[in-house]
Amino acid sequence: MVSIIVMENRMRPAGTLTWVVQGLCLALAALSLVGSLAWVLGPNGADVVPLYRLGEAIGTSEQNTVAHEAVVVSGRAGVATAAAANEALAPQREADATSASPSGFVEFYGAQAQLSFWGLGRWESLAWTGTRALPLLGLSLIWLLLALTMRDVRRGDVFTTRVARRVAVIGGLVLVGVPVTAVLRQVLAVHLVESSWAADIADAAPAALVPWWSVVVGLVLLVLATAWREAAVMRRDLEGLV
Amino acid sequence: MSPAPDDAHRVHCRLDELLADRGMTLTDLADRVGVTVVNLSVLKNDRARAVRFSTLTAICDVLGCDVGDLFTVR
Repeated sequence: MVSIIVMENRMRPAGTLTWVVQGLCLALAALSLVGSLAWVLGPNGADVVPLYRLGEAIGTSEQNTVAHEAVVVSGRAGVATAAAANEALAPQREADATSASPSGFVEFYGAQAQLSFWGLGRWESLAWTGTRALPLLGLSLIWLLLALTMRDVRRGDVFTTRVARRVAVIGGLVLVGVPVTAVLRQVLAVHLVESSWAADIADAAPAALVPWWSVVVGLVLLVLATAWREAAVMRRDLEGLV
Repeated sequence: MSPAPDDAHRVHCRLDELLADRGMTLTDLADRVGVTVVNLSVLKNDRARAVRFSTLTAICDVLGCDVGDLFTVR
């Protein structure tokens, strides 16, 4: 009798919105996981799954392409710089045209271009694919944790230390994962461009090394997780208070 | 030394016996004390972890007893 009363006291009717949000989080978790697997299993990873249509179906076709990096050409922006850069690469293009294993491709439009690498080494390929697949895996984990939290919201059992830990994990992933990925991508891009045949005329496009928004969001989430844990402990203490 | 778990207590609430002696129901007591039946039920079945002094005062006033009459340690 008592247990029934206590349960009724804690259970709340499940709102449609919480069901929808939980379902959406689960769907996004699955989508992110598929995207991550597409990187791992696709042409730049293990190359065991032909993704030429799946990549477009899951919202990005980048997994289908060979490794590439954005580059900029030294010199004034304009047609003359682009023409000079294209001319400088003409011998390499001619060599590639007759080669069984062409080294890559680049065509300059203005001062910017995308450099494609067709023959990365094993570790280069692993690092390039990893810096694309791991963020999606982390994103999938975040969506999954949010879905689990929405499930707890639906059950009226959200102010618990378990949920506080989930918020802390999400905060940690955003705080550390995003900047680390950005730095690793930039370091890798510089290495690839500098060791390519276009190194003399192009540099890896500069990126903002630390995305400060992620540091702010991550810290806010960690603060919220701390407050949440305090609230959960307080709730536990108050449960059973008559 | 870590504190004992909240559930590891031997305090027994004698609310059942006091109510029976006075011919009162839990609902009557809840109405007069101003505490929900759910909370009084928790107290009666030894599931409470803490009791407010104001609740104790109100219960003792209604039942005409002392705090010591309400609880025993087993």
